[in-house]
Amino acid sequence: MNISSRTSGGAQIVTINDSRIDAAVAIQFKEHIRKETESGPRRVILNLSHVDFIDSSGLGAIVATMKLLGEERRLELSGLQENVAKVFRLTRMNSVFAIHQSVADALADER
Amino acid sequence: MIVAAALKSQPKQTAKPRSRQFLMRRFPGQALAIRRFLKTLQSWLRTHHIGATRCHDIELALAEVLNNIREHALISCPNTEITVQCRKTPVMLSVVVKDFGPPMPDETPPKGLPPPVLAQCPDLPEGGFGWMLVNELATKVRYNRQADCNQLHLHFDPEPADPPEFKLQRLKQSQ
Repeated sequence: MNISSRTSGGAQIVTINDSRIDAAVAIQFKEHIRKETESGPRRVILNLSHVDFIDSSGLGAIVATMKLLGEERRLELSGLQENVAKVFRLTRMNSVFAIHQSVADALADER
Repeated sequence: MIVAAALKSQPKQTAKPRSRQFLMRRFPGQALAIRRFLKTLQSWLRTHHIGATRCHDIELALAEVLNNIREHALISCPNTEITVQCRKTPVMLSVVVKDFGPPMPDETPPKGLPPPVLAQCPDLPEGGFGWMLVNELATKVRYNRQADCNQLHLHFDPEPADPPEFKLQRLKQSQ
């Protein structure tokens, strides 16, 4: 999986550079993100703007990542394309995550 | 014979090529093979001018069904093949998915009711969404077991009268 990470405005921004988070890469995704976020700022912003397909395994991997971060840190999402946003809405997971239009919005929305 | 004669008499230029109305693929029950099939399916759906949103619904439902077969029915025999037959009519897309794994429990597909989602991290479900998505996205779902073969029949309206999110709202209201 192609994942990049940087720190900006007190948040770690993890960008998924692949177009799919599906059953074929869910375990790999979880492992990559776990390594990327082992330490770092309290806020982790997952930039999904390049992702145009996610299935329930991919969704599960994102939920698992949030749980791995524990209570002290927070996983937020940004840049969801319509296909991806729909999966979050249908599973009601949109009520669990803070979801931002873009990384810039997420950084501006410092809470 | 009569049907064959009737088909023969149809002018060729008005009949849609048979190859475009059907898509049949057989592939091993493995994640990357499933992904490759979904790519083929997308290209085929687009030749039928199905809208991008509905194409995504169909791809997602099939992804859930096929990965469910891979993770459950074929877990101990990953080289076993899955067969998918798609047929497009003017009003419907019908898909039949076949595998020779063990039958579904009680020979019934799961209802796929949404799992409870709580805003508390330790309790958040990481799975259990697959069948809910299938039931939301497909217009009709039917399962039968025939001669050691699991057969799942899925129907999709090209443009659903009741889009998935409205269907979900209705379900929630009736609970």
